[in-house]
Amino acid sequence: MGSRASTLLRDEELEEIKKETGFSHSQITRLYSRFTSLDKGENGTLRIPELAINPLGDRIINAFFPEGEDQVNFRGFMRTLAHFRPIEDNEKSKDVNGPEPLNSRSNKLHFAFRLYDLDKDEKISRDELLQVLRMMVGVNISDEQLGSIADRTIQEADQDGDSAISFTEFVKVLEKVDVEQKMSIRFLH
Amino acid sequence: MSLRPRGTRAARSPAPTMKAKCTTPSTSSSKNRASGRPRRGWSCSRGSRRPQGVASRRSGGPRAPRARPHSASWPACPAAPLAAAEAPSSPSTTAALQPRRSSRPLLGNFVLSARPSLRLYDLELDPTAREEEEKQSLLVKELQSLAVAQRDHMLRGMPLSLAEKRSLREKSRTPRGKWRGQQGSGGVCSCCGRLRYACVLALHSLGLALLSGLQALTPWRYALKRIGGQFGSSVLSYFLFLKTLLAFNALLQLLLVAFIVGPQVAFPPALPGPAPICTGLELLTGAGCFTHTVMFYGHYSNATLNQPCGSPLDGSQCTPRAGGLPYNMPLAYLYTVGAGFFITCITLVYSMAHSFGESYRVGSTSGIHAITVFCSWDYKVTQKRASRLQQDNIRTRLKELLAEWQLRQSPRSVCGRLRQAAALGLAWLLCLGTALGCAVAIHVFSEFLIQSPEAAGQEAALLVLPLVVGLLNLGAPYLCRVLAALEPHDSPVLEVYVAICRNLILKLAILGTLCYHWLGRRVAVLQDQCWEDFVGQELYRFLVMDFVLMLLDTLFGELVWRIISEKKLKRRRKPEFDIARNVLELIYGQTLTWLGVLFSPLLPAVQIIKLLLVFYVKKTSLLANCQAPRRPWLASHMSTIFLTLLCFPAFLGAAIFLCYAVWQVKPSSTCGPFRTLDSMYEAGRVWVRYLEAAGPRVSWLPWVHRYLVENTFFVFLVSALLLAVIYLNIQVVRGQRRVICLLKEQISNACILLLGSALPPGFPVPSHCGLSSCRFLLWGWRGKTKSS
Repeated sequence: MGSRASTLLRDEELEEIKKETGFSHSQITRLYSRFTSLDKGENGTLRIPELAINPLGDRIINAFFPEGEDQVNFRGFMRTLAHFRPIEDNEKSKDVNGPEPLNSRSNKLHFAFRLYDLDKDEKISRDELLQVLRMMVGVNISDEQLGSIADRTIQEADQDGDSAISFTEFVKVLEKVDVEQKMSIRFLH
Repeated sequence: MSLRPRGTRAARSPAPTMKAKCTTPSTSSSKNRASGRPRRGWSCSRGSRRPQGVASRRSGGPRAPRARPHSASWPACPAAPLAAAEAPSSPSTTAALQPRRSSRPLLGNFVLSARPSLRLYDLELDPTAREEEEKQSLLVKELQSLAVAQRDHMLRGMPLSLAEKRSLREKSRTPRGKWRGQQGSGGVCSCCGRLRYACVLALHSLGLALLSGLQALTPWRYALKRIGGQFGSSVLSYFLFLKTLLAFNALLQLLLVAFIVGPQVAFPPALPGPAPICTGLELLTGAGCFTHTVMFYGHYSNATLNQPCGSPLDGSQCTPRAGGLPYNMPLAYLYTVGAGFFITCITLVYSMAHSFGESYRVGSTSGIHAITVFCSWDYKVTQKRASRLQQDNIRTRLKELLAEWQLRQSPRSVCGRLRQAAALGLAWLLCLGTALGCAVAIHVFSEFLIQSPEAAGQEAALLVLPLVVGLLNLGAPYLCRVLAALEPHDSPVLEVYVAICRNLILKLAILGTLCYHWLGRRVAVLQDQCWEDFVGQELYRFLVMDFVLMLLDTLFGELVWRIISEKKLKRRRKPEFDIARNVLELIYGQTLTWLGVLFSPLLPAVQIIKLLLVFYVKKTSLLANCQAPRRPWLASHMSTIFLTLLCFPAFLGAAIFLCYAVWQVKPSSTCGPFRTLDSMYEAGRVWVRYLEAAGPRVSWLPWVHRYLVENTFFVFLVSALLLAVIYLNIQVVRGQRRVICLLKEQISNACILLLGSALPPGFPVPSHCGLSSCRFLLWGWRGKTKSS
């Protein structure tokens, strides 16, 4: 991804981003300077060494890009980061009629779901699960055991019997997990 | 591209474009003029001024996020002032707005070396351009006349590109308003903000570095992670237990050094004779030149240290010391040991309760596979080594979960169960018989040692009993293990627990015999010598011998066995790490330490050194010679079990031994802090009587001592209250767990009701009240149970 952004960030865009994502003024400005500093070399690509050692690195990168495009702008960057904003208590019941904030539990889970759903068919099939497992646990495990683990996971989560995990089943099986806390990054104010 | 008059270019398009040109004196800011770089609207592809917020490749043309360029002209100045709430959406105004034409040639094609006068040539001769300029300046004036909020509102609604809006805003900004912008004034304000941000960031990273530094200081962190990842949580629990024992010993030793060893070292008593020469044998026997040191009971004085002259209590030494604090050694000895045991008891009970609470969590285990698969990867890892560790950990955990689930799937027939029960009964009988036999053998042998005349000066003869006991301790568990291999067990957890029980009974039998031997027989035999020194030295010998035999066992049991099994027997499998036996060895060593603390205040230090060496030896041997358990299993309750075993048989037994020694046994009259008393506990009574005689100022202390501590009725009352409180707590906890289970059932029922209409008939009813955890917790509650 390239970033050839200028150093100007106008107030009206700030306001829009603020309304859409819920970050504060100063947070958006900080993140903007971080965003612009990401492509220091100005050659259109980024190098993030931490992602290289992460087995799910390319999935994370893919999550930042909207459908079918190969570049991301600051709005898209903020939209993705907004999923990781911690949920504050005072905004839980603020706007019942408006659209759900990006950092709600459901949206966080949807983000996580999209990491695993490779072909974007709103289902995690056994093959996709096997790929994820293979990436996560390395190589010292037999295929048979991996297959058993994948089968067992689908068996636990699947409720409509289609041998795949849909988004609602995903939400159901993770209902005990404190997603709001695990999927949050503390952004400096 | 040659220079053409402006008008020709403008004629190509249906409508002239905005004049945010690079060369317009009125539009370009002074900054750009000074730098000489033409600021030419938003088609400058080489310049740095791109529309904000766009990160795109160098593919020419900025990516306008919203407005597509369409032809409209600049708004005719709104004749009437716009109301604040009125959006400028009247078709005339907005249709009149005109964005920049996208067909404007790029600056790259413009010859920069053209003289400014030539560049200005365009502007002045272009009538439409001037018209546009006028319109724009009128619009700007109009905007300036509005309030800020209205201006923003209006600008927001205009269908122009962001770049153009920005320039409009720039122009319409009042001098005072200019200072409000983020970028506007540059200079002092944003510098302050940046400084503040840098400070906050530096502090934040410093805090994080401190935290990670503190974490790195915890000993053996990496080693433990590696062991846990490679061998599973069961083997890891052994090493964690070792670490816990180290902590207990360190705490106890600190107390003893501060209150007993320290003062005695500062005021050494006169030695009875010339100190014997140190040969190397002391390290094994504890006798010889170790005898008259602070290491053993006999060295401690029975007087008040640092006492100024003229006190009636002190008979012997009277060195005049000015301004010192008198230190009553017998009292300090007794109460420090008592306080050490009390603190150890509290810490043990607390850590046991804490670990119990953690392992018996009220929560169902449904969905544990999915949660582990989806939620266990920690994305914060940034190092390759850490990510490999995490992979190991997750893999082992998944294997353990799978094994546990597969275990539950296979039930047994009735015949098989009967056979299993018979084999189990037989094995138990044999193991109990072994334990009894060991105890009898030790008793007989120790009696023999007492009866037979000991050759004087034969220090090595002292090592015989520890050696024999150690060998029995080593051999009998192997026998029990062989017996256990014959009987079939389904779950590895149960196997380990059964092995632990048997081993424990064996060790308790041995230790019980030994305690009787020391306090019953040795005291009687060694009446006019220092029997406490002897018992302290015996315990030291046992501890050292235990360590030596453990080293030999690790060497032969693991290393040599691996070499044999690989070379001679040609088996692929390395030996497995025997958790039960190793843990009980640790508990045994700790019991010996606790038994010997009264007679040898430096024994916990010996135990600390021993534990440190044991950790490294076992870790090396594990990584080199052993392999992961064939059937991985989840060791969630292991640490609780270990701590419970440490607390109940081990600590309780040591406490009983201590109480008996303090209350019932007459201390020897030739050595130690209690040499003139009938029992060690008398020291307290003597002091209280002294306080009574001292004066009326401290009369409440003897009163407390007489009516509350020595009064048996009060002790009974306190014990009864304590028991009542414990019982009430148990009932409350039980009731709460029952309520939780009921609530969970209600929730799952509600879910079923809600989904009920959508489900086909015969759908399996989901249950979320995890059966196993509920059964565990509600011991004896025969409530409704659903099949999970």
